[in-house]
Amino acid sequence: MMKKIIAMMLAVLFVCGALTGFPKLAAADDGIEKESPMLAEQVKAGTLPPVEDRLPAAADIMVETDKTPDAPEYGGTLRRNNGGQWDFGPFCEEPLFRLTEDGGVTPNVAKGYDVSEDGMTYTIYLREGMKWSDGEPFTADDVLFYYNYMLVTDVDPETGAVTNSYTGNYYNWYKTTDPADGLTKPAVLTKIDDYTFQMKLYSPKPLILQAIAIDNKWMFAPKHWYKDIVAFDSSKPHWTGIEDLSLIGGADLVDVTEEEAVKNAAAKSSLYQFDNYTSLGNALGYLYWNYAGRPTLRAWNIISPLTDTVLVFERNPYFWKTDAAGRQLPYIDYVEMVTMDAGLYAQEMLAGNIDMNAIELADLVTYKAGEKTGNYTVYSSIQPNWTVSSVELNQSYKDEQYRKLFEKIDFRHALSIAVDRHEVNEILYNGLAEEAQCAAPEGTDQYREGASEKWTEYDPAAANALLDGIPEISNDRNADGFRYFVDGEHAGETVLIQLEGHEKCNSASAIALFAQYYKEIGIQLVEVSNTARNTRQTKVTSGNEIMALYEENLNVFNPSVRPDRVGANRKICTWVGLYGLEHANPMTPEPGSEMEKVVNNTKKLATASTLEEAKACGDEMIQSMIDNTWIIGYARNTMKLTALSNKVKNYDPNYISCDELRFYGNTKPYTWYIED
Amino acid sequence: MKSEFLRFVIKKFLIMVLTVFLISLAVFYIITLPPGDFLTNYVGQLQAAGESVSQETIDKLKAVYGLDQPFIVQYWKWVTNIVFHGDFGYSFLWKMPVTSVIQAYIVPTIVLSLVTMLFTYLISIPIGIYSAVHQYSLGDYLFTSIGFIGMAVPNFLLGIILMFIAFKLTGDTMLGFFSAKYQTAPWSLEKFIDLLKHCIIPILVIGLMNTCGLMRTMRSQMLDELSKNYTLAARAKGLKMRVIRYKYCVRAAINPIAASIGWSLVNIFTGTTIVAIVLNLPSMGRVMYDALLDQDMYLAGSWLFLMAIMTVIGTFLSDILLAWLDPRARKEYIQG
Amino acid sequence: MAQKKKSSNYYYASQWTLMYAKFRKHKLAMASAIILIIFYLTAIFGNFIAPQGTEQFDSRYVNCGPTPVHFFHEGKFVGPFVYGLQKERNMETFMYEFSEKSDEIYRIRFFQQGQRGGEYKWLGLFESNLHLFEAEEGGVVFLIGTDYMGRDLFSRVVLGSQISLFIPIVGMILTVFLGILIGSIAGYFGGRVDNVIQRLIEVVRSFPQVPLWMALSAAIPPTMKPAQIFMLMTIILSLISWPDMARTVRSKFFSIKKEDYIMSARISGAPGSAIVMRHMIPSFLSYIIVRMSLTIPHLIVGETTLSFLGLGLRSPATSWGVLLQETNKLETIMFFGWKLLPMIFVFITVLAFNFLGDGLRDAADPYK
Repeated sequence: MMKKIIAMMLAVLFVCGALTGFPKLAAADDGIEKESPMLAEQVKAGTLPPVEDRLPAAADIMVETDKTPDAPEYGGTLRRNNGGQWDFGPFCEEPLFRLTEDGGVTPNVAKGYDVSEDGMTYTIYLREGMKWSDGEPFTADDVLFYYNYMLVTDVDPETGAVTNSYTGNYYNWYKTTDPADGLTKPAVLTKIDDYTFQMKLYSPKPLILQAIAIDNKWMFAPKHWYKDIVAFDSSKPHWTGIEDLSLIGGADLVDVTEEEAVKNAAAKSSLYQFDNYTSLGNALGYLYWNYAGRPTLRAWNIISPLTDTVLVFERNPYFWKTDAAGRQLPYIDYVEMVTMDAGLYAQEMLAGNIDMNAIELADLVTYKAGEKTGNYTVYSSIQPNWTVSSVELNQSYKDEQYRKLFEKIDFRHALSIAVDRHEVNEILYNGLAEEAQCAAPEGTDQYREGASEKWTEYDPAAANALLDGIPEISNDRNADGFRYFVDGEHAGETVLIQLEGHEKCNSASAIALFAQYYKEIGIQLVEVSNTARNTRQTKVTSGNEIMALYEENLNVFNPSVRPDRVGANRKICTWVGLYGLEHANPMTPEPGSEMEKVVNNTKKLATASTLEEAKACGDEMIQSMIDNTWIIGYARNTMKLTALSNKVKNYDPNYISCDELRFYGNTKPYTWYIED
Repeated sequence: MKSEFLRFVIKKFLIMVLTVFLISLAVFYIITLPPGDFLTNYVGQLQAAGESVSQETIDKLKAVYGLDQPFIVQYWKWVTNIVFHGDFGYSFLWKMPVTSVIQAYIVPTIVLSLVTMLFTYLISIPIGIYSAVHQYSLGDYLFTSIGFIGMAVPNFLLGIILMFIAFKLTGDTMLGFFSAKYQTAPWSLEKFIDLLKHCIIPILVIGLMNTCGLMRTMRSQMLDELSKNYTLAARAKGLKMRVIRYKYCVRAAINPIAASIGWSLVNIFTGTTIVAIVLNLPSMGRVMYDALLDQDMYLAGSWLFLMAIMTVIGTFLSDILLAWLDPRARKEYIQG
Repeated sequence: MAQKKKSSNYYYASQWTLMYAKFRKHKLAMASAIILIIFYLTAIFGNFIAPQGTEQFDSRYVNCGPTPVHFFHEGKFVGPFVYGLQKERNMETFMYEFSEKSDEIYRIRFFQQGQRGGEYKWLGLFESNLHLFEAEEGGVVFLIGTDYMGRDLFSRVVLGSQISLFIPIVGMILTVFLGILIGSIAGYFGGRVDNVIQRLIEVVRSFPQVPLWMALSAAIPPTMKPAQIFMLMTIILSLISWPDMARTVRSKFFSIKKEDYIMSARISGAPGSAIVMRHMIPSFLSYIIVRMSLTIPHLIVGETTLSFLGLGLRSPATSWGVLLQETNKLETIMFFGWKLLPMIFVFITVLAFNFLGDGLRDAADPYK
């Protein structure tokens, strides 16, 4: 049955040494269609160069050998739900290196790399003749310009800290410790030739490529397009100290002030009306895939303004991948992202008005029931889910009395066993979820025996006994039937947990249910973000504003490469600053506390110079999660469910879906095709 | 006589300007009520997506948007920008000027509102007249009951039910303004027909609530007029009932309805907001809803402001219409 | 003689007697009044009539359809009973399906002690767990089915009416109070005061309700209790709806002001407040009563809409609007049609208030 735990292969096989990404040559002309008729027509009309000229040099074309269907058809439109920019972005993301399901990296935009003996110099090779979606050549200059002028705009020479970034998002993963002065400094990227560049670190960092594949997958940008909208001042030396600007992608730049950049952008398109340079940089430099007209390397590019309810994505005529038979990908001409209220997609799927929708476990039965009428199939893929319904008590909450209570492991224990997971499962998930604690599912590398079963037995009497043993709160109940604080600032007040709901999921019904269970043990629970869903975000940002957080779909790829989900910089416990800023804003937990260990491991991981070290940090974080139940999980769901029209072919549901692997991007939508 | 009318118009106009000013103050106050501001939310969103934002960036953005300034300064900036530059501010959510967002949605919203209004009046006035003339007939009962159903079923539920019925009958849910096929197609007769089909449910839903109210007003006004002395006198003088009804009674009965045109806009805007959410229409209702939830205050405020202004203008026009139709009204007004 | 007495009664009868006589003639309004009285009584005795309490739920009966109440088993009369329920998962859609087990009979007992969780404090005074009806141990009776948490919908409708029927009355009182107060101030003083109030009315009237509430709802503190939120919602809805009332009151004032009897009252030195309270307001009391009856359904529909949009109350708080929240899912209409049934109660109530208003309107003009 669906419920069985699907074994997963997420073991980290750290890939060392050179990767050989050189593909096979495409077969010679064999009479099959090599490009979409839509493009062939443009070639015929003379508005587009022939397909051979649009693809990279024959040896450098990326060939999707294992995803080639027997008789694909070109054309058609895929209509799917619009899950927002973090959904349609990853859908056709093309990273420099692609993270693989086994934790390694594989070439994508880059065709390969070499790493020096000391592990400090990476030489990365690009594909010759590859072009941006506007036909301009893609070269090493595009990577160097991005890194040196957009990502890292300024560095403080005293501390090595990045002080300015055009995109507004700099990744600390590029930083390594310089043994000469003990400072952590950003890597230095320089050009070798048009298709080769070098990345120099100050000390070895074996996980750097994984980090890039996860965090800075878009480490390149069309220089020709950005030149006049990125501020440049020739009188100022570059932060790297390199004077020959051609080495760092800065040759032929002309001076542009920030005001001019805003004006230039506005003149480019009516879609680029930004009120200042910062929002310009963040929008066009960082969230670029939202903006029509920005050349990319993706299979499809947006052509409609974001205000449209249906976002249209058009195929990239210069896409640089082919199938094994030499047909240019993608097969599908257009992808349309349809925005509507989440509750309406089921109707639209049933009516055949959309072809694809990502669905929640709770809605599975509705979609299953409509499979025949709607001529679609519900597919299940794997997500490395630790919990789908959980409560997290903020270990760094500003109110000391509550924080002290949350620190008590008995308190978390009581909340865990006070809830009947079977009822939760039946009521919220039609009985299709796993009744488990927050822990890695079986089959993953993070799986630990017994972790999923810990404190899952429903036992309100034992929970009450545990709470009775906590001296800070009363054993008897007040008029409303709740326990209260016996002393301190809150003396006499009800123990009230304010749980921050989640806008995307049906948190209201879950929280309503938990509230009834918690009431049995004398703890009051209320949902906080009743209406203003983004106050949640506000509070998450400030780290100590949220008392407790309801979280669904906590998917963990591997804490050793991305620790924020289980580590100390989990959004709610900002002991070491927010994700990506581990070094920037450290907070100190109490010495000797369990949390301190987690914090230290998170810090250690960021500067780990051997794989063993990184793995040990990750393992300790996992153990800490198990020992302390920082997140109280009430259900787990490892099924990533997708309803897909039967006319969409070559969709392979055997993949792992999570942010690190780019969700649907992991199953390569550009190899799907539509059969009429 | 003419100058009196002009005086009336000018006086009404000045009052309208004053009202708009008060509304702008109220709107700005409302949008600054919720705790937090968009910027912090926006930063939170980035972090929720696993991205990082530095404190310097946050401070910089705060200063740029003037979010660290007191209410009255922010208000003054907002209003002067609107008045002198036609600039409604910047939508943090969409990362574009508010005017661009509104431009994208205002046409469908206004068209939908106007068509609904037209529908409402075209349906309710004749039915009101019919019901009054044929009081207690089968038709009167029928229309009255339909009117009551429209009044008693909340819009959103009616929308859902009609959508489901449409799906059962045609196999299509009729959501949005266009079918998948015509969504991105260039304009053609087929696309127009498709649009009309998709407008049926929204118009019915938004219109029905108003229609029954209007229908009943028209009916009772008409009944009043029919029982007045002038009708009796006209009848005694041998005028045909038809002429009396349609030439005199209807004209008199329609006055209060004409006066309410401006106000009925308020109900229609409320209706479009709900229906847009239920039926997935690309009108401002949806955008407004999201903007409010995301505390995109300039967008939400501007839209609330625009709706209120449109209502005020609508009222101004209907007052003038009434004064033009019925000289007694302006006389009464000027004399106070 | 009798005839004469009756007609003289008619001429000397008070306005109220006349109104009542006329009202009784309006069959629909009379029926509506009776229905509303029943509804309000049900709400008052809600905890007794509803088999379940607000916080009871049962994962075994999630999304269970209405359980028919039978009287005959295999042709033999056994009194009201329900069959046992068989729950099975449809392996194709993974959906649970319920069917009756015709060999298990559970009689419905009346005036029973309820199950755990059904305890209540009637009117906040007497603790009790007495319920009107209850199936025998092991059986369940869901008159109109259950919701996603396995809660008895009938109980929820009854308990929800305690909020949905009573809080709008508060809103109505507020609307009427504000309407009369502000309208009469404007009408009585006229001139500059009137001008200011007129502007205020125009400003308030220009805001569309739902969008305005959307804007305001973002500012509601989340820890607020459901009843308080509902109260606030009602207050805000009434704050938006008073201008209509005020406008009418104002214009009535203007027309009455010129009447002779007001003039003479003024000349004989009656104080302003007395003139307003004794002479002016009673003259359009009938209008006020009509408006009162029409404001309530307006507030009820307002609440359902806001709750539906997720801007009002949320479960486990129970109100009619909350019960309708589940309707925006396709599955409700497709598989769980009974979840639309709470709608009927809203429908009936709103209609009843409208008819009542109609009847009152007719009755208010008894000399016609």
